[in-house]
Formats: sequence, C-alpha cells, structure tokens
Amino acid sequence: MALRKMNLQTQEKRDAYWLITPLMVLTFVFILFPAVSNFYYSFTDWKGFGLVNWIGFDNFSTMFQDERFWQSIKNTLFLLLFIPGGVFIPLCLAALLRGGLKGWKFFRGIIYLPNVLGYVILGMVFNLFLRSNGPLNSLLQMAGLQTWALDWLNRPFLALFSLGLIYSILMRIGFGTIYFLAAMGGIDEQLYEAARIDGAGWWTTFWKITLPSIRFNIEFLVVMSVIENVARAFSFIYAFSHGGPGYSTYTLEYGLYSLGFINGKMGYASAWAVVLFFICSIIAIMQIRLMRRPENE
Amino acid sequence: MSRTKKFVSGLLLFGLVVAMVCGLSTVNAAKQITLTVWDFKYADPGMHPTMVKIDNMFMQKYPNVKVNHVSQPMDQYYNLLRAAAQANEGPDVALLHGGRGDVYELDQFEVKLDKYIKSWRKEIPEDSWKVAATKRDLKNGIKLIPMTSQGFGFYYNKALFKKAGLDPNVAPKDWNSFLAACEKLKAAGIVPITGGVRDYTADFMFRCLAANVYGKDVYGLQNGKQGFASNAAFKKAAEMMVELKNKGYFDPNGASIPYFMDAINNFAAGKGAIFCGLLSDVGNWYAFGNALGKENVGYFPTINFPEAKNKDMQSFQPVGIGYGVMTWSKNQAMAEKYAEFYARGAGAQTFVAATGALSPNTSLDTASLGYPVLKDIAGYLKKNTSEDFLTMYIGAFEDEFIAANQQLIITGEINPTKYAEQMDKIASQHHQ
Amino acid sequence: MNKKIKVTIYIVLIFFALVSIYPLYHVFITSFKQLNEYANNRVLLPVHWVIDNYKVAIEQCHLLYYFLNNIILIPAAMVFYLFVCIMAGFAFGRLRFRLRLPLFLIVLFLMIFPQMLLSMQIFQLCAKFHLTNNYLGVILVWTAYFAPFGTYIMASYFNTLPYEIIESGRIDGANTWSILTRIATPMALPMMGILIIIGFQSMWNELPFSLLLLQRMEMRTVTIGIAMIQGEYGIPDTTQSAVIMIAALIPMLVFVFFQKYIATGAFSGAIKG
Repeated sequence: MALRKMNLQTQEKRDAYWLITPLMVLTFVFILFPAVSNFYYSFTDWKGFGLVNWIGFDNFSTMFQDERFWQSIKNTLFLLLFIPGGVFIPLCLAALLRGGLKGWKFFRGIIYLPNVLGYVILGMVFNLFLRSNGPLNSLLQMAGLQTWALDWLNRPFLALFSLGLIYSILMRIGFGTIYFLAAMGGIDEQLYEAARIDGAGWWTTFWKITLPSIRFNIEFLVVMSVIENVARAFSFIYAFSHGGPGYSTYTLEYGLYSLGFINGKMGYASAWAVVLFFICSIIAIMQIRLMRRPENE
Repeated sequence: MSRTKKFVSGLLLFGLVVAMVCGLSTVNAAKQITLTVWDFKYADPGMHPTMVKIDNMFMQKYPNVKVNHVSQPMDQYYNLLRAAAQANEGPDVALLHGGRGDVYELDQFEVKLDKYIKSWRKEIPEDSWKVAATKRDLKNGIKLIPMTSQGFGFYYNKALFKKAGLDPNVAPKDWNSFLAACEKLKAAGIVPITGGVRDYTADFMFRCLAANVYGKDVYGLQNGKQGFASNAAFKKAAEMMVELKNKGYFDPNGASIPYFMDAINNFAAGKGAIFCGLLSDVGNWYAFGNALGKENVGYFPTINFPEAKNKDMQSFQPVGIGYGVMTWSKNQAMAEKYAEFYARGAGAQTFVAATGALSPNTSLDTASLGYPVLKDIAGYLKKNTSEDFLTMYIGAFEDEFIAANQQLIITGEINPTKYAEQMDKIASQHHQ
Repeated sequence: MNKKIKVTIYIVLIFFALVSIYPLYHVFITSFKQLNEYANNRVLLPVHWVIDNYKVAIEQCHLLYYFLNNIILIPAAMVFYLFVCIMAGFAFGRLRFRLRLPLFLIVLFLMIFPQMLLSMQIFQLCAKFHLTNNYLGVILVWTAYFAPFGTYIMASYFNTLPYEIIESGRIDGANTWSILTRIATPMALPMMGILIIIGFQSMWNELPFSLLLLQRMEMRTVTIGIAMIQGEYGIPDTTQSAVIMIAALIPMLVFVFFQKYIATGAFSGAIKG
C-alpha cells in the first residue's frame, strides 16, 4: 500500500510537469525572453531592423536628460493619485448597497458597461465627447454653464486630469462596486448583529467591521488599479489623447510606443523598457506577496 | 500507457486546431502575379476612387496581374514597413515620402531604379530624382519614382475678403498686411484663419515661414550651420504664431479639429478666410477651386517679415510621394512597372486630373485644367523655392515638432525662446 | 436606511450610469447623422436619420473582413487558451510537485508586463519563425500573454475543490488525466464560463500584438480596424461613430448574454484569490 502511494506520488509529479508544459513554454518564449532581451538592446542603437551596434550606457544617459522621460514619470505618479478615489467610491457604494436597493440590478448592468467595451473604443468615445466643440461642452452651454465648458483636451492639466478621472475612477466604479459587494457577501452577519447590539452607528460599523473584513479585497483592487495605470493604459491613451497636448499625457508605456515604434529608435526605447521592467517588477512582487498571504491560500 | 496515449491525443487535438488555422492562412497559391501595394493614401475618400480606377487601368494593361492595394494607417506606416523589413517579407510596392528619413533608413530594402527609369529620366527634373535617391545623393541610387511634388502655402477666400472690405486681388503676404487683414475679417465676423491648429495648421504654417527664414540655406540645418535658437528670424516666426493666437485670429474651435479632412472641409465650405494648405493631392488649389469657385481662390506662399532674409519663398518638396519597389518582392519587374504607371503616362494623367496632384513630370499637363490660381502657384514655384525644412530630418521629427507647436500655441507652456531651444534639442535627436 | 441616504445613493448611481452610458449614446446618435448636420447639431437627435455612415463604414473600412478574422481567430485561440489554463491551473491548484511554488510565482510575475514592453521582441521572434501574417502567431502570442491570469483563476478555483473527491478518484485507480477530464473539469464548468468571458474580452480588445503581427488587410481584427480609423486621413466623425457602434456591438451582446455571471458576483469572485 505504501509503495503504491509512493508510486502514485511520483506519477502525480510527472503528470503535473506535463500539464504545465504548454503554459511554461509559451510564457518563457513569448514573455520572459522578450522582457529580458530588452536589457541587451538597451545598450545598442538598434533601429528595429538591420545592424546592432553596442553603445554602452549612452541610451541611459540620454534618457536621464530627456524631459519626456521625467514628464512621463510625473504623469504616471499624478495618475496614481486617482486610485484612492477609484477604490473608495465603490467601497462606500457597496457598503451602502449591501442591504439591497430597489433597481440596483438595473444600475449594475449599466455601470458595468465600460468594462466590456475595451480601451480603444472607450478612448475614442471619450475623445469625441470631450472635444471643445463636442457634446459635453454643448450640454454645459445649454445648461447655462458656459464657464465650465473648458477645452478639456488641449490644456495640459485638464487633459491629464480628464484622463485620470475617466480612466482611474469613472470607468472603474462598476467593477469595483460589484467586486466589493461580492466580497461583503462573505462577511459573517453575526458581526453586524453584535455591532448593532453594542449600538454602533453606520460609520463605526463600516470602519470597524466592513473594512477589516475585506481588507484583502481592497488591497487587491488597489494593486490591480496600479497595474492598470502603469502597465495597461497604452490603448486608452493612444485612442484618447495620443500622449498630447505636448507631452501632458505621455507615460512610460506611451513613450515606448512613440520612441520605439514611431521614431524607430528601438535601442533607446529599450532603455525606457528597462526602467518600466523594474517598476513593473516591484508592483508584481507587491501583488504576489498579497496573493500569497496565508489567509488567501 | 493509456495515460500517455491520452496526453498524446490531447496534444494531437492541439495540433489539429493549429494545422487548421495554418492551412486557412496559407491558401491561394495564385497562378497569376499578385502585386501587394502598401499605401497611406488609399483610404482617403478624395483619393480612393481615383486609385481604384488607376489600378483597374493597370490590370487591364497587364491582365496577368492582380493588384492587392492595402491601406495602412499613416501614423503606423513606417513602423509597419520597418517590421516588414525585419521579417524580410511584405509589400512588393510601397508608397514612400520624398526626402523622408525613414525612407532613407530603409535604403537597403529598396530596389535601385536607376536602370529602369533611364529611358525616360528626362521627363522628371533632376532635383526630384536627387530627393528620390537616398540621402539626396544620386550615387546611392534612386529608390522611388516621384508621383507628386508637394509644398505648402496660404489659400484665401476672395468672396470673404470682399465681404470684409478687403481687396480680393491683393494677397496679404506681408506681416503687417496679414495682421490688418485678419483684424478686418475678425471685425466682420469672419473666422480669419481656419485650420486644425492642434496638428497640421501650425505645422504647415511654420514650414511656410521657415521657407523665408532659411531660403536656400535650409540644407545648413543638416550640418549644423543653421539652427533654431540661434536664428532671430525663426524666433520671430514663433512670436508671430503666438501673436496670431493671442489676437484670436485662429478658428476658436481650431484646436479640436483634425486638419485632415475636417479643417480642409471647413475652408472648402467657406467657414474661414485664410487657410494654410498643400499644393498637391488634398487640401489644395484643385479642391478649393472646385468648392469655392475657380476664380474665388487666392494664393500666397508665405508671410514676409523683415527679420527673415528671404521674401516670397515657396516651401517645396521636389518629391511629395512616389512608389518604391522592395527588395524582397518576387515580382520586381512588374512592381517597377506599377510604380511607373502612377508617375507617367495614362495612369499619372488620370491621377493628376482627378486629384489636382502636382506632378514633377513635365510631360503631364495641368495648366489645361483651367484654374487661375495655378498660374500664381506656378509663378512662385518658378521664382524661388526653399526645400521644406522638415525633410532635413528623419520622419519622427514631425511628431516632436507637433508636440512642441502644441506647447507653444495651444497650451502656452513654453514661450518662443524656449520653443526655439526645444526645436534645437529635437533636431539634434532626429538628424538624417 | 433612511430616506435621505436612499435618495443620495440614487443620485450617485444615476450620475455614474449617465457617465457610462451617455458618451456611447452620443456616438450612437452621431452615427445616424449626416456630416453637415453634425457640425451644427452635436447633442440633439438627428433630424434626418441616415444609415450612410454604416454603409461607408462597412464598405470602405472593410469591417466585414475584420469580423470574419475575429470569428476565425478568437474561437481558435480560445480553445488553445482553455486547454493551457485548465491543464496548468489544475496542476498548480491541485497537484503536489516540488517546483509548484516557484513556478507558480514566476507565472504570476509574468502577468504584469505591458504589451508595449514585449511587442517588438515578440515581433522579431515571430518573424524568425514565419509567424507574422499568420493566425497561428497571434494565437500563440495571445495565449502566452493572457494564459497566466487564466491559470491563476483556474488554480485558485481548483484549490477550493474538496480534496476528498480527487483522492477518491485516485483510489479508484483513475489517472491524473481522467481525474482532470472526468472529475475536475466538469466541476469547474461555471468557472470556465468566466474564463471564457475574460479571455474573450482580452482577445477582442487586444491591440499592440495583433497590430504588428497581422499586417495584411485581409487578416486584421476589428480592434485594429477601429484603431486605424484614427490614424487614417479623412474619416469624418460621423463615420467614425458608425465604426465604433459596429465594433461595440459584439462585446455588448456578449455582455448581455453572460450577464448572469456578473449578476451573481461570481465574475468578481473569480478574481478574489
């Protein structure tokens, strides 16, 4: 019997390696290898084709003097400031909706809509929507709010602000609320019962019971939002503002596209990619630590 | 044993799907020749029907050829071409820009056409052939057959000038008269300068002004003998642009309108008095003449201002666009014939007549089209041209240039001095 | 809940509902306007409803081609993707082997890199193996890029399955493959629904890889098609709107069809960990 069990275990091991082979091969070839080979190209003047010349740290010294680089770091940091809003609003909404609300099903469908459309479509839609002669300003003027009819896409701060507001908050309300509602469904009702007996108010219950109980989910959504901001925003920015006006919505990711693909300076873009690689790695490690916490095992 | 079998059969199922997909993607081994043409103009509604027509003419002439004309987006175009170069497979024929750095960089993948064009080389001026050769050096070989020449200049709506009390037959080509005209137009409730200020209106206006600033010395930008911040006239040009903006002479919606085709359509619809347009293909004398009336369109190439050394200088590209043949093509001989067809003979004549393209080919006739403004343009072209300063750099220069223009004119983040400095910086990163 | 709070919640919900639906509604009405009407009438319903924009969109922008490509590409990639995710998810979630943890961590780590960071090198690789302008190339790259997340979801799910069921299968003499196909996969069917939605959304909306890998017009996907509209000269806003509406149609249908997953919260639960 013991022998059979051992046999089974080695069998299981072998089978396991078989089962993960397709995934491992694909990811190593198409993700790990490309990500790592950027390191090599960042020391070259590669143009995307043809000869590759080793030029040492030139790309990096150019990069650190490049205003576009610092601007994109600044822009990314600014966009991160919207994440608390994108997490806190759904959190409050979910807490309020926990007891149920007539018509929630109807709203749920609608506010989830942005999540299905994809960033290219959303970016184009909001680009059309926010132009200075576009529908938003027409509406504001019709409502007598001429002073609010701003040139959203052509003022550096406004463009970045609109980007953050739309991308990090408005588009995420639906998913966040549904996500938190699902998480709150798992909280033990007895905790609330006990709080009510103690005479705790809504806020106290929210802070003392709801938040701690779904702490993991909150952290998870924060990390996901950081990823969406730092590493997934390209398609949206591409369709929404093309990095402009000037460089006011330029991010590292957009810079990679603009420098590498449009300017044909793959070597230099690879240096940007190396920086982005490190930033992403830090976020990934945060994320992994979160997922690997014992209570989430 | 049976476990392994099942694993294998699972993998086989994989393989089946894969094979099916592969099969689907590699069907049609054609007996006849298929010429794949890449193009960034093909989707343009103003061009599309004409190009379809010319392709059909070509296929009639060579019945064993099927033209597969593929439209690629302009902003991705050279990116895709570079990618094709890397894979060493792609289009047989590609539309290329004359004098553009990206085209010169792809030199090794472009077929030398010197021999092919030899018998009719005289039809096109040597100036144009020079730009069609890599780095403007005929020794490197001619890499594309010029279809058009291109340039930029100001068109104005004579009816609106009259309405504002201006003399429609006097072009406001000096800075003071330009300002005075704008003021009068504005007072009459007419938008003085229509355009897509966010992208190409500012871009093209700077290129017109730069013709006066640099004139024949424009090549000095390539070897560092000329610059931006060091040139008082260039700085003045930037100040002029800011002044026009501050005085409200640009279309108030101009920053939200894309130049192609919205701004062009606005001018054609009479929604503004002055427009910085092109000489060839679209947004040109032909389109505006047809829309506003042939007699109703005035033209001047640039704005004269005292700081600039030159006057009435026409910003010019000896080659606007032209088809080149790629080295990986398996049908190079036919591809060369195709490139020629758009630049010479019946195909070219159709192209010119239908779009108002300005062909460098002297054997083609445009004068008979009967547009009076064309006479003015021809006059400026004959008198004095300055090669477009943008073509001194690699193509990506324009992206950065437009971003800098936005910072100067739209967002106001930088002042003219800083702008000129930034232009130097951009230039240093984008030398050919 | 007292009345005031209720009213506030409704107001907040109505606001967010408007934000997500109104811009799309605007695109919808614009797509039925003539260009010169749109110039003067941005907000109101069209006076003359026309379908010309759709005609132009379909004829000139080759949208039918693009749809056809999606119909070929996405199901094929989906089969591949499900295979990879379920197999690896089962191994990571339910089997014991020495490198389980480090390998799983690597997979999680590889989830994060943006497409832009990888695409040029991926293109080089594909060019070397003749996988450009080839459906197979896109299928492989999509699967590689999206499978880590799918694997993570499946692994978390398999992890919650009661261990006894699998053990009992094993004691009955079933091998790993038949445990996976006969016991675990049927139990994971609801999760596969979610996996399919996530995979579908990711693939349908993917831009950078397919843009580079599919250069021939006949092979492009819908998302490339609409992204190109912006880069192309002279497509007016009204036609653009029609293109957006056509492209948004299928994702919206899928959304309506699969809404029950979102309704039960299972969808978000899947991403819980």
